Order: sequence, then C-alpha cells, then structure tokens
Amino acid sequence: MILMNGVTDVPRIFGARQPLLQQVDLLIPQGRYALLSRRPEFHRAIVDVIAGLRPPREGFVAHQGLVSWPLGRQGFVRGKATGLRMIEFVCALYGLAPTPCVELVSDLLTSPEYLARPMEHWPLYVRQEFSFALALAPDFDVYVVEGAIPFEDCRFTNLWLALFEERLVGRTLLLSTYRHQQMMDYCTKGLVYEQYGLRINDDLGECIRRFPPRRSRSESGGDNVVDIGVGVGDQFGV
Amino acid sequence: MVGPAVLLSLISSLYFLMGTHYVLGMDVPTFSLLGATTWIMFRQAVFRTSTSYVAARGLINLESVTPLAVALVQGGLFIGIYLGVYAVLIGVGHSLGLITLPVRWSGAIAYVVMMGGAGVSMGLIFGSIAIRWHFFLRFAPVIERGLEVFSSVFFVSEQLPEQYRKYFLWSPFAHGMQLLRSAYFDSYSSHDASFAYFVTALVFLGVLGAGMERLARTHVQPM
Repeated sequence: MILMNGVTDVPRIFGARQPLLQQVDLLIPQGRYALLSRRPEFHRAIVDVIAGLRPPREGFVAHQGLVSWPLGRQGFVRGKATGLRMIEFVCALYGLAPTPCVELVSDLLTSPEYLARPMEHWPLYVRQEFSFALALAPDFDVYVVEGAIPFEDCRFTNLWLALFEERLVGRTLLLSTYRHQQMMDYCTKGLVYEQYGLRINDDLGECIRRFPPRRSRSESGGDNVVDIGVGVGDQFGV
Repeated sequence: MVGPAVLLSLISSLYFLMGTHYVLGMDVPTFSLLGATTWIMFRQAVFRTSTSYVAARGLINLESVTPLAVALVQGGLFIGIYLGVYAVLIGVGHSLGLITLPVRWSGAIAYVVMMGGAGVSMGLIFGSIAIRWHFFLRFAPVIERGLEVFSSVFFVSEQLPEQYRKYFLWSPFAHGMQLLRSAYFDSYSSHDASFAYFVTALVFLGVLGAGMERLARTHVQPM
C-alpha cells in the first residue's frame, strides 16, 4: 500500500522546472498498476516520488513494506565496485545473507563470470540482467518496474519471469513501460497521471486506449515514437 | 600522501630560506606538517562531500540510501584516510628525526577530526548550492584557496602584529588550526584561538549544512 498525502512537486525535467503534482491525495492499495499518461517524460519523476526515492516539495509519501528500486534502471550498477560487492551491499541494506543472494544472481545471469569484475566494465545486457536478478533477492512488497520487463526469449528471461511471477503474488506492481502487451499481461488497473494529479482507473483497456503508451524522449531521442517492436540492441526495451 | 608532503616541504622551505627553524617554539617541519596535512584533509573533505552529494546519485535508487548518507560516508572516509596519512607522515618523519611527536595525542586527534567535520559541513553546504546551481562547484577551489590564507596554514596569528590579527581571526578554521598546534606542542599555547568560537562555528556550519541539505533534497534526482 502506498499513501500520497498532499503531495506537490515541481522537479526539473529536461532542464526546465515543471509542475508535476499538485496536492495529490491518493491511497494506492495492493494491486498491479500500469502508469499511464500523455507525458511519458514525466514518468521517471513520478516513479521517484512514488517509490520514495525523492521527497516531494510538499506533502509526503508513505509505504507499507519494502519498495524495490526501479527495476530496469541501472543507476547503481556502475562504478569500480564488483558485482559481488554490490550484492553484499544490497544484502547488508536489506538484512540478507550474501551467499544465497550471490548464488541466486549467479544462477540467473547469462554471464555470471562478470560478477567478479568491476561493474563499469560490464556490457549493457549484464547490467540489465543484474538489476533485475538482484531484485529477486529481497522480499519486496512493492515492485516498481521502469522501462520494460524482460521479454526476449532467452534463458535469463524465462528463469526471471518464472521467479518474478511467483514473487508478485499478493504484492503490488507499478509498471511504467511503453510496451502495451506487458501492461495487459501484468497489470489489472491503470494509474493515470493527468492534470498534475494521479488517479486509479479500474478499466485498464480503456486507459490504454485514452493514453496510448509511447516511449519517452529520454529513451527514444524523439517525440511520438510508437512501440513498434524489438530493435537491434533493444534487449529489454530500456 | 604526496599532496601533504609537497605542501609541508613548500612551507618548511620558505621558513628555512628565511633562516627560521622554530616558529614560536614549534619546530618548522612539524608546524608545516600540521598545517599542510590538516588543510589538505579539509579541502578533500569539502570537495569529495560536495561532489558526491551532487554527482553520486546512482546509489540513491536504493530506497534506504539517501544523498546525505552518501555524502557523509564519503566525507568520513576521507577523514579516516587522512588520519592514516597523518600516522604515516608522523611515523616516518619521527623515525628520520624530522618530526616531533604530539604532547597530547587525544587533543591533537580531536582537533584534526573536528577540522574534518568542518570540511564535511562545508562540503554539504557547497553540494546543496550546487544542486540548484551546478556551476557553483567551479568556485569551490577558489573559495578554499581564499580560506587557506586566513586559516593559519602557513603561520599562526601570534606571528602577526597585534593590529592585523583581527583580519585573520574571523576565520573559525584559524582557531581550529591554532588549537590543534596548542594541543600538539608543549612549547606553544595559542592566546588568540578561542575554543568556544571554534566549536560554535562548527555547530553553526553543521546546522547550516543540514538545513540546506533539507532544502536541496527535493531537487536531488536519482540517476
């Protein structure tokens, strides 16, 4: 459950200060939500606020239980630290034993040999897999996915999806993606961002018709790019 | 290690060129070591804390990691590193017969840590400003160099004529450095340095840093 109380936020998006939320009071009960709006450029900032990664200018956001990091973002998968050190760090943060987590991540990754190397030398697909695989270690109550859930037909995707769907039972999912099919597969409701506010709409199909998903400028490099499938190097659509 | 060694050699050589081997009863190499190492620790704490607050935003994607925690850890690490640098320089210098050992170890270490804490607070203030105005960190080295002149790195206020001391003693860091030397040397006790002024300034810097961080926090976006 996520509670937003009197949330007002004016973050800097694409270099300009933008009014994002105005006096939003919303209770998001347990469920599976697709974040939809006409401004996918704002989704990242909205996810930051909802996931509690950045406090809003006014009001507060309260969570019941643990919230995952935005899966698909590789923000912390960088730098000179090795993957093993990062797993130990995340385990220390969430009070987990590191050895089973290392085993879990190693089993999932396509190329587990990268774990012992500095993350700055990892190829993109290893970073993406690592971010998703590590998220299965802590027992999160709210899973936030930004970008796309892995979809390419490969060993990692099959293993990860099987475990993720198991984990998702009875938990909350917030999915911010431009992939229409994933919204239909994983979500049951729409979390609609409109006119500086958020609301829950139970009719996901109608929401998607009103707010057809498209890629953000930050992902596509241009406006109004429609999801037309998997491109070269677009392994996870992130 | 190299930075403090170079700066202390520079300060010492200037004194030696003038034929001075003792400054108010303090031997010049140790006097220079205290000024150089403490100041380089201070500036590293300022720069590393401010930069990590502004730039190390990857880790804050993890819910329990805050920008303040990242900055404080970075600043704390550098204070720890420079305590190690101090230990090496004093140890090696003493074994070569160049450096004298402190009279009051606890007092000297406490003042070094307090100077480091002041650097972390300054770094937090700089980082909070830089979140709103990215160009500000370009000024950080200029501000630091300016402060260095007024912070008893190269000389203590007692070396100056009475009428000029007030132009240097406004800086709380000058008080901190002179108190550090008072704790380190038996032969020197600073008459100008005020413990109350130094601690008050330290608390003020800490509160200002925490307050500015609170205001800047909503603008720190995870990478």
